[in-house]
Amino acid sequence: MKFTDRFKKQIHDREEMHKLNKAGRNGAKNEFNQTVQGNSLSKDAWRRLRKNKAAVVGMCVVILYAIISLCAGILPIYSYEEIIIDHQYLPPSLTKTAGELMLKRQLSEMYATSWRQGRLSVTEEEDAMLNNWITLDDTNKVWNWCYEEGEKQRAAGTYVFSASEQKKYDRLQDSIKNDIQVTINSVRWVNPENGKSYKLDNLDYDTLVSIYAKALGGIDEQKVRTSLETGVNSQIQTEVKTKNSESELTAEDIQSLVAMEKDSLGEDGVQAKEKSLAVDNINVLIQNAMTKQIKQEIKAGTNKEFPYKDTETLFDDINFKVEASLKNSRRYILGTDNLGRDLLSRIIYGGRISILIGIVGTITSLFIGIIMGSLAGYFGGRVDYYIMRFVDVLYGLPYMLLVIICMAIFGTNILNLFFALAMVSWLTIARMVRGQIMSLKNQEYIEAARSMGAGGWRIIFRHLVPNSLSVIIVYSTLRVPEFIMQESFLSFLGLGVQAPLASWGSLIGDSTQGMTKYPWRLVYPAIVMTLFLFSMNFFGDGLRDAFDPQSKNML
Amino acid sequence: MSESVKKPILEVKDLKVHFPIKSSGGLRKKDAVIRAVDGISFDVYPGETLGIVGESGCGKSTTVRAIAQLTKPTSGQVIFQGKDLCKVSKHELLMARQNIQMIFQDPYASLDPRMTVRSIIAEPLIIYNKRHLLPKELSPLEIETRVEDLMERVGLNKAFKNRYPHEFSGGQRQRIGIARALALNPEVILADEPVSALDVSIQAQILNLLRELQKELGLTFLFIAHDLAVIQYISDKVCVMYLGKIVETSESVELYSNPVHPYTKALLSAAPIPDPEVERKRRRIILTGDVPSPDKEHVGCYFYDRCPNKMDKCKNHIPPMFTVGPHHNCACWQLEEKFPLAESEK
Repeated sequence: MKFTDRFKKQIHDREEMHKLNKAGRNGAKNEFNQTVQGNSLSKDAWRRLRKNKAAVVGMCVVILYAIISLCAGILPIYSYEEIIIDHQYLPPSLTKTAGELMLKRQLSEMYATSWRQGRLSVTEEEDAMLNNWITLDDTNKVWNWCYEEGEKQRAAGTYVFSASEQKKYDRLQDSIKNDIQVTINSVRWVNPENGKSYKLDNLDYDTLVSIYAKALGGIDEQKVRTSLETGVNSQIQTEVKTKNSESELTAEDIQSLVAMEKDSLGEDGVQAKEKSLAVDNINVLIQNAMTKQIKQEIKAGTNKEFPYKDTETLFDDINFKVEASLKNSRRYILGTDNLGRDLLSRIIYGGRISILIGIVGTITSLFIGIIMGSLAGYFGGRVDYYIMRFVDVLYGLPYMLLVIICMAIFGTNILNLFFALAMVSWLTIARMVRGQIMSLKNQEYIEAARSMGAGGWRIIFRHLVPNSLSVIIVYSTLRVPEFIMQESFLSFLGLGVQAPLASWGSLIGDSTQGMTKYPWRLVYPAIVMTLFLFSMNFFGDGLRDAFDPQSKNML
Repeated sequence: MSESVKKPILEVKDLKVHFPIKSSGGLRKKDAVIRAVDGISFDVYPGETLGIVGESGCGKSTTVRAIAQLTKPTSGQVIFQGKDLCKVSKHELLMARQNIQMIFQDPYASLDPRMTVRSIIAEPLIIYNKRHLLPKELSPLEIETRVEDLMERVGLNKAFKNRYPHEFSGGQRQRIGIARALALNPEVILADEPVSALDVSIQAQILNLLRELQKELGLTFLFIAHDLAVIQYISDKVCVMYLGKIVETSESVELYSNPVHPYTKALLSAAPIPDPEVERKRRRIILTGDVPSPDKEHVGCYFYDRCPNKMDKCKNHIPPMFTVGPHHNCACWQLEEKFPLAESEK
C-alpha cells in the first residue's frame, strides 16, 4: 500500500514537472519579450549533431554497418564457412551464376591449352602479345583473350573440341545442371517413449551409441563403442604427433603419451570426445543419405524445385531440417575465396567481429583508463605516483609482445583477444584523462562543488570527466579504427580470429597471396573497412562538437 | 548594549594557514612556509556584514577558504554553532556547510560549463538530499520549484534554467552563483570578492541584490573585497588585513571617518575620490617599499618595514589589539599610551 502511494506520488510529481517544464519552455518570455525555449543536454547535442552533415552521413553509415552485422544471421546470404572446393576463386559477378563462371574458366583454360598445342589459330602478332603477357605474369589477360577468341572460333566452326575436351565439357555441363548442395540443420532426436525431442549434443552416451548403431544399419552396439574408442584414440594420437612433430618418437613413446593425455582428460573427457565424434558422424551419415536420396529422386525424374526446404525424418526417430540447392546456380556478388566461400558473407560476418572488437576494446579501455586516470589526477600524491609508474612500466614493455604473450598463454579465442587488447590499450587514455583532470581540478567550480559538500566520486564523474569528455570522445572514436587495425595485424600473424571465423583484418591478410590474380579478395574487404573507419572518424568529430556546449560550430 | 549580549554566529580564533613550500635547492633542504594567514581572530554576529579588506596577497581569500574548510587551517579555531569546524567529523562538517555557503570571485570560472543553470543551482540540493541531510526530503518536483524560486529571487528569468553558463553575462552568472549559494538556506554566506570581476554598474546591481537578500532572509555575510567603496557600502563592520594579520577592526562608519592604523590611513588615502577638485587637493600617504615576502616569521609589527611612524618598540614586539572605541580595535604600538590595555588583556 505504502509502495503504491509512493509510486502514485512519483507519477504525479513527474506530471507536474512536465507541466512546469512546459511552462518554463513555452510560456516564459525574455527581456525582449521573445518566447524562450530551453533544451536538455542530449537534445542540444542532437540538434548540434544534425547540423553537421559529415557527422550525420558518418552516423548513418555506422548505423547501417551495425544493422547489417546484427542481422547477419537472417540476411539472405550463403554460409560464411561452407567450403565448396569447386567454387574457389570465382570472380565477383552480379549477373552470372557460379556455374557459368566455372564454365567460362574451364573453357578459357581449355582454349589456352589448345593455343599452346597450336590448335587455336592465332596470328603471329597475337602470339607475341600472349607470350608477352605471360612474361609479365598477367595470366588473367591471357585467359580472357583466349576465351573470347576460342568462343569466336568455336561459333564459326573453325575450332572443334577434342574428344577429351568434349568429355570434360559435357561433365561440367552436367554437374552444373545437377549438382546439389545439401545442408542439414537442427538435428533432433525424438524419444519414442514420450515424444520429447532432444538435441544430439545433450543426449547421454548410451542413447547416442544406440542411435549411431541404428544409423549405421543396425549393427552391434559393442562394435560401435569400440569404433568410437579407436576413433578418439587416433584423434588424440594425431594431436600428440603434431604437438611433438620435431622430436622423433617411437611407437611406444606415442602410446605412453596418448595414455597420459587420456589420463589428463579423465574418463568424462574421453567420453565427451567420443560423444562429439558420434554426433559428427551421425550428421555426416544423414547428409550423405539425404544427398543420395535427392539425387535418386532427380534421376527418377521427379521434378524438384530448387532451392528446396523440408523437414525430414531418418533412422526412425531423428528429425532434421534439410536444405538443398543447385550448387552451381549460386551467385557470388563479391566473388569467392581460396576455399570457395562466399566473400560477401565473409565480409559481413567479418565486419561483425571487427566492429565488436573495435567497440568492446574501446569501451573496456575507456572504462579502465578513465577510472585509473581520474583517480591519479584527482587524488594526486602517492596514488598518482604509483598508478603512473605502473603505467610507465607497461608503456616500457613492447606492446605487441605483451598481446602476443597474452594470446599465447590464454589461448587464441575472441574473448582473450578482447582481454589482451584492453589490457594494454588503456594506458594512453589514463594519461590523457589524468592530465585533463589535473588541469581542471583547480578550477573554481570544483572548489564550489567541494564547498557544497560534493564527494570525490561526484566531483570526478559529474564535473571532471564531463569536462574532459571532448578529448575523450575524439580519442575513443580514433581508437575504434586502431583496434580494428590491431586485430587485423594479430589475425595476420595468426593470433587473432581463428578460421573459419573471419574479420576484416584476416580477410585482407589472407588475400595478400594471389593479390594480382584475385584482386577482389583484397579490394572489397579493404573498401568496406576503409568506409567504416572514415565514417567512424567523421562521426566522432561530430560527437565531440555536439557534446561541447561552448562549441562554436553550433547554429 | 544589546549587541554585546548577542552571541556571535561565527568565531574565528587565532586562525593560521601556512603553506609549505618545498625548496629543491640541492642538498640544503629547508622547508619554508608561506604564512598566508598568521593568527587572526574575529567574530561575526548574526544579520550583520563583516567586510574584510586588504591589498592583494594579504590572505583575505585564504581566510575565507579556511573558514569553509576548503583549505585546512594550520592551527586555530573556527567556531560555528558551538563547534570547532577544524576538528569536527565529516558528517558534522557537512551539516555545518549547509549553513555556510560561498560565493566565488570569478563568475566565469565558478560555474561548471557543462551544466545547465538548473543543475548548477540544484546541485547542493541534490547532494544534501542524497545524503539525507536536509530537514525534509525533497522530491524532484520540489527541487525544480525551489530552483525556479531561487532564480526569480536573484532576478533571473526562470525561462533560462535550461541554458548553459556561457550564454550569460558576467552579472547574470554571478546571480546564478548567488542562487546556488542560497539553495540550502544558509545562515552565513562567505563572499569571496563577489563583485571584483564585474564592471561598476553591474557591481552596484549585485551589491543591492545582496543587501536585499540579507534583509529578506536575515543572512550574515562575510564579505571580502579590495575595493574600499564596496566595503563601505555593504558592510557593518570592517577588518583591515595586512600580510596575514588583522591590523584594524571597526564599525564601517567609524573606520572611514576615523582610521587609526597607519596602514588603514594609507589604504584609505589610496582610494581615488570621484571629485576632481577634492582629488587634486588631497594629500596621499605613499608607502615606501614593497610588501615583504610572507615566508619569514615576524617578531615585531608586521607593518614595521613600511610604516611611516615606526618606533623602536615596533621592531621586536608584536602589537596587541588596542581598544580605540566601541567595536574599534587597532594593532599599533602608538596607541599604547592613549588607550592602554586592560590588565586582563595583557
